Amino acid sequence: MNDNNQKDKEGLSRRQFLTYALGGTGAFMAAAITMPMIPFTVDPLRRVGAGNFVEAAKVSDFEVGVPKKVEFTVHKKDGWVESDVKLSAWVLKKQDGTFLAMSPICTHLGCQVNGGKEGDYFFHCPCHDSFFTKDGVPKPGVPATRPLDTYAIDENALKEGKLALGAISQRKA
Amino acid sequence: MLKKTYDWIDERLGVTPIWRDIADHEVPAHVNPANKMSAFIYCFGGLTFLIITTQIISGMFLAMYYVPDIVNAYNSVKYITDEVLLGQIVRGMHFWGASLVIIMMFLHMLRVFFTGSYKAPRELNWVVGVLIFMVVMGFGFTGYLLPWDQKAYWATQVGANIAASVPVVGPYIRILLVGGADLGALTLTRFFAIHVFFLPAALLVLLGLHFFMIRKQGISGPL
Amino acid sequence: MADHSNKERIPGVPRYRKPKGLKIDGTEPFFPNFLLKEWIVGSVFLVAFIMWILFNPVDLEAVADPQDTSFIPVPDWYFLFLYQLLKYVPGQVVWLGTVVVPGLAVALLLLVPWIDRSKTRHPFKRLIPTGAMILSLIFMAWLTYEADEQHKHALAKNPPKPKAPAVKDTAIVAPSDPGAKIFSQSCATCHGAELKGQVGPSLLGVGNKLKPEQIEEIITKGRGAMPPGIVQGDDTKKVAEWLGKQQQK
Repeated sequence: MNDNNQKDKEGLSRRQFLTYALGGTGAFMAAAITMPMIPFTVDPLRRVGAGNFVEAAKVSDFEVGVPKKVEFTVHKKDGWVESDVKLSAWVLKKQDGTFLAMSPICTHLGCQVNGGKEGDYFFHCPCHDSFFTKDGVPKPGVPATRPLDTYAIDENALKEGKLALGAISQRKA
Repeated sequence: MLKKTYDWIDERLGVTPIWRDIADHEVPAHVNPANKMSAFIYCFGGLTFLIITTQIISGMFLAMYYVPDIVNAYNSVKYITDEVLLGQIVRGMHFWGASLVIIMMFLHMLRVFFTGSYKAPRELNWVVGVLIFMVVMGFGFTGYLLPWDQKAYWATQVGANIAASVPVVGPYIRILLVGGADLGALTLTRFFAIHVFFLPAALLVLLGLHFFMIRKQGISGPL
Repeated sequence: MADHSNKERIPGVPRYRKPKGLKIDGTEPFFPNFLLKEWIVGSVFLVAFIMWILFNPVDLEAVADPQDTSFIPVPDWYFLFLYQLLKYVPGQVVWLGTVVVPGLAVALLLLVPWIDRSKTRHPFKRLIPTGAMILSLIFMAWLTYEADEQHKHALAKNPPKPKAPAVKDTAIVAPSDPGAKIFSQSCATCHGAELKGQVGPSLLGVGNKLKPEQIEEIITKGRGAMPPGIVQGDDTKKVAEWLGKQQQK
């Protein structure tokens, strides 16, 4: 083949040009086949995140400074499997009237913490003796280092006198 | 950098002669549609392969959502169709692709038949081609059941009864095919395994042989 | 690049002859020249395929129901010719149509290179293979057409039941009715404690379709796989009346 010797003005040989065109066509075909697959695969991204709020209790149920346990049911949709998951939260009404809703899962290894202890530390985890204040902050030196996780609270529902809880998030140590 | 990496690999494995053989071999003029429009009949084989590729890819992605279980199979297909982003398209690709593979393969086979390309020395490649045809029909039969809808269930019921009509061993074939006395959970898992593991393995081996022989023997000359 | 078609000619390969009407007689390298043309054809083909998919959404029928024997089965279109063939084979020798004929066809197809051994390749110069193939194509096309026509005819004569409207509302009406108690003892194992159906069909919204008297009749006489008389005496009426109240949206 003498293609390589026949360079045109720009110095692009016919063979090179054809190779680029081939690359473009190949890329087009690959894209046409794989394009629908990308949204198909990343579909879960748009389902997780903005968790819906579930009404758990009334604002009037709580007194300032004493955490109270509330139980509520979340309707969970896992693909085509729908189920009702029972969750619980320890809710603390603070002096300024704001709420703190904590998950009862110990941040050490995931046991359920018990509440209602006397003294500085309101929560106790029976598994490895972690203590937490009623704000969920761990006692220095116990196995757990991170405060108890919190549920998001729907501000709009709060104005209507309802306590609605949403997604769980971690707090920094 | 790229060149260095290539050289390093080439030094050890000597890949250059392999791809040069594939890249530089001369393609005769009579199969080139640029020369004569009627040469497009020689494209059917390549197009079959293109659609088989899309089938493999769309099938792999569908498997991310599908479960082969009689309680959930239908729901998962429904979920793919109704809820997953572009699920309708991906399922459509696999569904329509199945028919298209059959059509293109049939056209390819007719081209080979009518141009007498199966003649010596290409007899073996013809045999491999017919085997590929069987495997693809197998894909169609097993894949049809997987959505576990009415159409799927009753068509497979007919297929199973056809298997049972074989003299003497028929009833045993039926039990093996269906995985029990009646169509049910075991049938679905069986068909799924055949559809996504056994047949693809067979298909890839046969396709490899098919292409190897084409390269080795070249395309049959003009009529 | 040397043209090695001469020195490495495989015995039996017809020598290259330039066909009439072929303007350019040159060969060209597979990469990139020929592959580019193939891939352009491929791209056009792929675009057409994707357009077809966009405009022809795949439907999903009702979930498989082994009890519903009124469903007229039909295989996918490419199996129709085999399916139709069976209709012309008498029942006692059905294996002729299921094993012998397809088996012979496959064997013939596999052995074609050894049956048609002449050196000529042009279809018009070997009329027997060409003719045989065309005849079998016509036969297959006719079988497929007939199968499709007969299926349409059967569907028209025996239309599929309208899909049971999907019941979204799963609330059970009057859960403390005496009928509900009898139901949970006698019927729930098959129809589900929440009426959602298990072995038997879902009974949510059964009151929309059937009157209590009809339900009572089904209970006493049985239906499909459901044996008659599971509930006896007065209880039958109570259950039927309670089920008749199940009018869900």
